[in-house]
Amino acid sequence: MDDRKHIVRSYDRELDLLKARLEEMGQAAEEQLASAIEALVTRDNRLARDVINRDPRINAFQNEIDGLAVEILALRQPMAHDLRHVISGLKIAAELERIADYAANVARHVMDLDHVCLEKPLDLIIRMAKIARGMLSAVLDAYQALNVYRAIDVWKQDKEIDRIYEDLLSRLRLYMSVDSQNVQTYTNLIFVARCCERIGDHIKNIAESVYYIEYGDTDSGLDLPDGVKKENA
Amino acid sequence: MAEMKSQESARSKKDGRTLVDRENRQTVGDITVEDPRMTCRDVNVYYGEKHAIKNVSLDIGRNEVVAMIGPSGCGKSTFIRCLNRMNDTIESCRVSGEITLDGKDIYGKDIDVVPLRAQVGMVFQKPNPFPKSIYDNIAYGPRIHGLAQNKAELDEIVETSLIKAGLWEEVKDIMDHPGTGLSGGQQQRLCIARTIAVSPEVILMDEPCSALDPIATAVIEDLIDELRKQYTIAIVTHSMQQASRVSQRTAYFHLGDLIEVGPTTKIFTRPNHQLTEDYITGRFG
Repeated sequence: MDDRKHIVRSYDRELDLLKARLEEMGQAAEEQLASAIEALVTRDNRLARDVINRDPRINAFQNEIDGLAVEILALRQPMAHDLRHVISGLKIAAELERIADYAANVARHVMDLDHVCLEKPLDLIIRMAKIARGMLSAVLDAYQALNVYRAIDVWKQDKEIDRIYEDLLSRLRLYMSVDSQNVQTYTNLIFVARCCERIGDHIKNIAESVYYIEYGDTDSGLDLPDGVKKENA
Repeated sequence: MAEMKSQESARSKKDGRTLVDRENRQTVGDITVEDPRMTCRDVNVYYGEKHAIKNVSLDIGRNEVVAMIGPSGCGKSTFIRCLNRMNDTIESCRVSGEITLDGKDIYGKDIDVVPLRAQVGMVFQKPNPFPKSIYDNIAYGPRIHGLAQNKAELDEIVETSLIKAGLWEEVKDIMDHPGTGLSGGQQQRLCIARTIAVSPEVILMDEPCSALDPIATAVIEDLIDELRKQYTIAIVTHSMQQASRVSQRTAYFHLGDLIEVGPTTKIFTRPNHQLTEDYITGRFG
């Protein structure tokens, strides 16, 4: 986690293990999201069911990471960068668990949408989901490299998801008013879109955690023009 | 295009936060406080040829606990020993710079170190009660400094000091017993009471808990927090957890340099100097 090794080598191993587990969890969450999107695009109910069945694995990751973090806090009393990394580890694991939950929710709705032919709104949802997937992949890279610039880029992309979501909601409201027979379908689409929008928010929270690990706060740096705090201000 | 390229290369160099470089020995952080009780400016200490403290400047604020941390030999004990001229007793020791207490230079020609050491008291690593009764341990200072007019006044000073040191309830019925017969933690609180008895303004503590068990340590730490309301305290400690628990400001020393000083919460969660970060995360050396 730092360019210098800790004097107590077992402490370094525990910190490395926490980071490795988080990266594994991130990869698993990313796979869940990718599969959910694939199921949505191809209307593949079997793949959707696989996503739902794999969700407990993500929850197990979170439990393991929580346990590791609590152990480090109790036994090592981490300070400074180490402390921020452990605290952020707990938060990132919780965000990834929620992201995977939403991916499973998207998969649940795939089965409800299998007869729907509403290309325009579905296209928009798929676009949101693909942006979210790209953001998740980028934020996990940012976490691995502790690269705040990449994290800030991800943080900014969430606005695009929000914009598409607003656009989609307006369209669906209009469709519902003129095509009341398909209200159930439109409602399902809103649920799926909502899942994608929330996934974007949770990814943004991970980006903030990456920033926090490096700077020790989240409230003052992200709004600066270049997105990075003045050094040692 | 050229501009874009230079931005890209700047990015790749600065993926995250940059700490002040290990080679840079300028003090990071604000050395001043709004209401200083003691001010130290450009303090240098030499033991013969050895330069033990290098240009250290630091304020010690009224009613604050400031913790000095750093590896062995970093100069933290040497520094606080300058604050009541304890280094005067070491023949080879030479101190330069300016140290004031309430604006007055404590190294001035007209300063008598005996009352100075009452004003700036000291508690040591190992409890060192006098081989006298509990009562006389406390009464000794007020007697030699003439702080009590009669026995009743002296009794009151002894009782008040023991109450403030959180020891009264445990010893009030055994005041004639020897101080050396108390437990380690009690002896240390007796020494704190002895320091308090001569009405100090500043209390210096040089690893006051390193010889104590965790419970006795917790009692002393609770006492330090209580004493802060009335006194200014500078504590040297090897325990970073103790520094984080008891102090409001922390100063990190390294090889005689004051590397970083700042609010304790900031020092332990996001220090600005790489050497501080190395030390508090255990990556030192």
